[in-house]
Amino acid sequence: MRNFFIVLILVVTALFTSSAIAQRKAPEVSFNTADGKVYDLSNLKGKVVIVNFWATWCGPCRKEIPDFIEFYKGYKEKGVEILGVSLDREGWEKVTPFLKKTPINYPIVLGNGEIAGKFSRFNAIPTTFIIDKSGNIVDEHTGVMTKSQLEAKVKPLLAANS
Amino acid sequence: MRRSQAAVSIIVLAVLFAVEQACAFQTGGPPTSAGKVKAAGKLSVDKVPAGSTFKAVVVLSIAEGWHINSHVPTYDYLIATTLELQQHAGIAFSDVRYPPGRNMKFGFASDSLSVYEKTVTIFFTGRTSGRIPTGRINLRAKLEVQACNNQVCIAPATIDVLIPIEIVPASTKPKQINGSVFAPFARE
Repeated sequence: MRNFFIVLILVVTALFTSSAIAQRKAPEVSFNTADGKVYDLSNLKGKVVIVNFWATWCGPCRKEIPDFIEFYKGYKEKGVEILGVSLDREGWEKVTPFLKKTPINYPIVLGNGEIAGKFSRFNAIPTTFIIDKSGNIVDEHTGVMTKSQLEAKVKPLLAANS
Repeated sequence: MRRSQAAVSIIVLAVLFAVEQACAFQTGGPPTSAGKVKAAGKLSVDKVPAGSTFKAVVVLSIAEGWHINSHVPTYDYLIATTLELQQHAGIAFSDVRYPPGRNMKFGFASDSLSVYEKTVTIFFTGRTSGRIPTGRINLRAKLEVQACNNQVCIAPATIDVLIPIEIVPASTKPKQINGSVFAPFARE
């Protein structure tokens, strides 16, 4: 009976952890850039997609943008897409002036709490999700990400079969 | 007894698992800075006579390890801490004083940032008209804050602040309270 109890605890614990770390499908959401271009996550299958939640008022978010720019320069043609999802409440009113001062080479789109919640219950920004070629969220990172960190995460995904 | 204990354990663990799965499908987005800041109002007197002046403060308690931007942040893109007092018939507000920010260095910024941390106090003065009705009312204010730590930031929030106040006849002599809170604001 004691052994049964131990096995039962192990099984339930495994169920808890497997539900937390198992890959999950990226939500079916689409985003628009300021000039009206639409990015639908479901149409980006076949690429490795990085979805980065940020805001103009967020210092750490602004710090990592140069690394994302440099990373995109080297990996866009290799099949990587980055979507910079701004959570600014004022939307383009805030983001457009920021982009004029800080040109960004990857698509910048708008998001909100509801869209963010479809990805996960993250509680701070910057938060970055990495989606594999099959449309699975395979990584989530809250905090500044460097170019090296992005490369380390993305290279294996690019090498994998779609 | 052992079988029943095992059965209870199975049920408890199954319920916990079901709750965890249910929570995983909740949407609603990330929490806001309101979770890192508590705001409480205090008055300098126990009752406020009609036709008199009173002092009040809003005390901000900021979670350990977190900061909010000061009222005059270092960069214009940072969201300032701001207290907006809501109008109330028969009461005029003035002399809103924000605490000075503390210049602190963070890993994500090249310059020091002017911030508030731990506990800070915003002061203001109110004056009741001679005709204000007596009774208990709530002074209302909206406090805007946006919190970060050394690595991440949380969405800005507008916190509703309520300060209960009892208006009494002009002839009533109020008792001074919260002396230690208001001592730093006594004008020379």
